[in-house]
Amino acid sequence: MITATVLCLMALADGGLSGFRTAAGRNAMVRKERYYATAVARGVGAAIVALGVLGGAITVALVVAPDPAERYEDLVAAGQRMLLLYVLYTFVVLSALAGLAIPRFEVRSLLTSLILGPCTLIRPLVIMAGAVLAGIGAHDPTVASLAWLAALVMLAIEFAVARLWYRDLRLPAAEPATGTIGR
Amino acid sequence: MGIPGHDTPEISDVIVSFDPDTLVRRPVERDAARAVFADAGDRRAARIVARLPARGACLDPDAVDATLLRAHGELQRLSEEFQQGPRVLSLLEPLIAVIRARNHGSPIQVVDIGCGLGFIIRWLAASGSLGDDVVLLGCDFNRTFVAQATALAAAEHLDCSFVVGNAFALAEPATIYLSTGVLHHFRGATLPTFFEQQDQPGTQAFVHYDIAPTRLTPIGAWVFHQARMREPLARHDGVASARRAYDDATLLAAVRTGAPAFSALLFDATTQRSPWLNVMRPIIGVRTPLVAEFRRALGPLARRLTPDPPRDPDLVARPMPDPTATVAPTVSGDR
Repeated sequence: MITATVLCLMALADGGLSGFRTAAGRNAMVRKERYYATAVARGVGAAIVALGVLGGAITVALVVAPDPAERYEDLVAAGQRMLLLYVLYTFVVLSALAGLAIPRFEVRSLLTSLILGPCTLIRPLVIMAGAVLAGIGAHDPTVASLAWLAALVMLAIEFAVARLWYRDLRLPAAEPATGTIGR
Repeated sequence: MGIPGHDTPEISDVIVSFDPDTLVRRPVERDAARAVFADAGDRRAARIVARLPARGACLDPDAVDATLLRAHGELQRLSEEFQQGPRVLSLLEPLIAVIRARNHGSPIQVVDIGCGLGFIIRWLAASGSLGDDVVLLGCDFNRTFVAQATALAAAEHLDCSFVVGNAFALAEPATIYLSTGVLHHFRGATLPTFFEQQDQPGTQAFVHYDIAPTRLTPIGAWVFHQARMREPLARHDGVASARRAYDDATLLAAVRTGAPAFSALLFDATTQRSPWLNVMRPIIGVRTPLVAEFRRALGPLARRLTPDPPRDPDLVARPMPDPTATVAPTVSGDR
């Protein structure tokens, strides 16, 4: 149960960050704390939906299993293998995010260039590598399939949030610019 | 990454064109724009241009502007992440303090050249840090950008303004000129000319940020533009601009050639700082009589200025870029 709980918490955190990333670059205001808070909430909401889909699939897989207890044990072991990788990645990202609280702009910039940007780039690979790890030691192909389903629903969150709420840059209605200073 | 040469233009340089005298926008033929990149061996850029909507033979200016607005929205996000507002403020505050002490109550006009969506000017206005005697103004050739920058400032009740036009033709010249991500658009002899134009009555200083070219810059730019950008044009031009960014010596030589009345200073020169800390770095020009006061006003940060005059003979002996190469710099800043 601890394994499942930790994975769910990570999925919620990842969903929130996916919401933030999707919204970033699509609002040109200077002050946008509420905009980002809404985006994070939407990402968490999308992660809850994703976890619901995954929970339903796991429930069905357990109900139809010839030996539900054995499949459950296999699922827990697969989750623990996923955690090996995901805990490391989450620790690095959350540490960098915590570092953003340091009130020095150069530290913030350094954390972005060294950790947060590259971590965003490798996130899909990390998620898929977790699914591979989970599948490698699984005795039951259904468990490996569920690990891949988990990876796919997490990867889909950013896409879904973008499609639903953040398709384009938001700008206020503008009057045509008048007045030209020629050469 | 698909950018074959250091001087392959950026897409945003090619898909918009303005009459240099009237600033009226000129039509751009899509095939001609595509050919610029195809001929340079930049097939990716050629594909991006070929996909832009056209009206007849020419690119649809509304579609081009929509693309550029999306790209600039994403670029603003990078500016936010790399703390560009606080970086500019950290240099402007001491500069303004020095100028204010000699200005006898006259307004201090800070003008952002090629301001795009005006993020830096709006950020400075939102910070409220510069004082009531500071006038914040953004200039850009692109009417769509200026209209949106104006609307964004109004939406947040920010005390700043934006105009379409040439920043060097203002009725009241800037006290301080700024730019971010603009310098590398000025190729060849147009770079010292850009600095020469800033030697105007009343102008006391300029601060121009651009990408700091190091060995890590192209790969770093690629990582960030893949991770943070969605607009193909933004991804392409972000990496292209990193490859086109000028090194320290070229910038110092250009200021000394074009604007000898200003002392040329680099803050966080690429040779002095880790490339991880040094994503963007400014070339600063300060009227020579103000330099000592500026250094004092900077306090401990003054250690991060290059020596002035330069002690490295290479910085003095460095030749200027090929004066025959002139790409018309009619673009908006891209950071």
